[in-house]
Amino acid sequence: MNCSIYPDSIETIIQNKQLFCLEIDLKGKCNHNCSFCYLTNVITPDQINENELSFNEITDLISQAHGLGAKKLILYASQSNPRPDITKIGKFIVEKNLQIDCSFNGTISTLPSDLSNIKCLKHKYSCFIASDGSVYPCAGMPLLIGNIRNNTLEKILSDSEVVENLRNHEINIKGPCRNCDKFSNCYGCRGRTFSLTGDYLGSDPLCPENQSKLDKITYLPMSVENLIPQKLGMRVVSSLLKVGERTAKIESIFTEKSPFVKPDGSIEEIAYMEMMAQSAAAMNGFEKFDTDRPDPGGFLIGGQKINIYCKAYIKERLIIDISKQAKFGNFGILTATIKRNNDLIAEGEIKIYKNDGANNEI
Amino acid sequence: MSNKIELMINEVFQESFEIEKNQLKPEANIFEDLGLDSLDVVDLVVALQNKFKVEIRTDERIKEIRTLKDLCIFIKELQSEGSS
Ligand code: SF4
Ligand code: SF4
Repeated sequence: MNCSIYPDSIETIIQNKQLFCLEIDLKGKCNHNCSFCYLTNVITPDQINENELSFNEITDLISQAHGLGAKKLILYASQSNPRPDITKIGKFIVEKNLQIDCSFNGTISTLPSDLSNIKCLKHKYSCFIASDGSVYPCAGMPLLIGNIRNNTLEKILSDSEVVENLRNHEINIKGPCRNCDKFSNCYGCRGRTFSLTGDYLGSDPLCPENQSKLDKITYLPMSVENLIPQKLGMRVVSSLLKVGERTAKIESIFTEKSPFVKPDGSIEEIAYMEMMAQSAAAMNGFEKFDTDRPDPGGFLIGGQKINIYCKAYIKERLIIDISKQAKFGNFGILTATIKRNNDLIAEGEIKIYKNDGANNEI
Repeated sequence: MSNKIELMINEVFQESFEIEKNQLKPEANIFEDLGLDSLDVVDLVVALQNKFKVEIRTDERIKEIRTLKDLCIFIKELQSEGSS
């Protein structure tokens, strides 16, 4: 099966930010039934009908993958209703001297039952392109990292923190997997871990080895209590809901006890920037949580372009979306929005200093 | 084309760092002549990203940039990489 074909040197691929394999969805399904794979269906067939990649976009993508060192192309094509240019695409791949593996969705696929052989590590050398050009770490992980219509594959892969974190899994995976004998060569199924825990770097809750340690696995949403240093009164965010590609979603609910609440129950203006800063800290804290990654801490340098559009009140559920924009040396800039349902309450940019040694991140 | 990039870069310096137009010469050193410090570079990166709709956040080449001309060449390189 395709999953057992393994590149010679993952290290070289990781170091040079290359690829060994690329999977492209041409509106079909995967029915390889690899024993450890969570999803035998690829992500998109039912969800995306519009805007399919054109022949030129597909061949350009294949050339890009080839340029990144890919040796193998896996196409998911529909058998009953294949693209009319499927043969031409196949020819193009063969001309590039790439190994081609075409999976038609003709056969019945069953979910894997044999999980003893769990391993995967696919994200270290492969990625998945949906039929509209969206890029995902693998077919079973709906965590969008970019779209080849907006950026080159090389740029998407080298900019992606999700890919970087998966490629360096030894320092990034949280929880009991870390103490498993197989850990240096295994991180379970990331797709199902993400679906079940919301954390693509969590420990795999379906691995037999982890069954006695399920209480040690982290799930989102998670209280920020253990993620940020602020104590209850000074805490202006409540829980981390989601993490994505350089983004996170945080919830905040103020109570009347908060020092940031005015007598009329509205929230002090100063609290908005603090919410953004604590959201950034929570995102960062979660990346380090229950791993061996040191957290030398950082601090807020300041906010800029902070706009407050309307008032928010205690007991309202506020959602902060935070996104890393850029980093340089020890400095990073993040943008944030604070919303109540769909109303934009505030938005702005915050600048953070982080003492992270040579390998700086925001 | 390069003229346009130059103009847009100058706009970034005027808008984001309030630097006078007459200081914006291609050979001007962004640190020594224009007074940016390491804390400003990340703002510059964000401003350039927004202006040129490119992503430079992990680009190591930004570290080598000293003058406005270097910056112009860098943006040109980025744009040609994006469209290739
Ligand atoms: S992580 Fe992705 S590719 Fe690997 S087994 Fe899970 S769904 Fe399949
Ligand atoms: S506990 Fe984790 S590392 Fe160990 S076999 Fe299971 S998934 Fe792999």
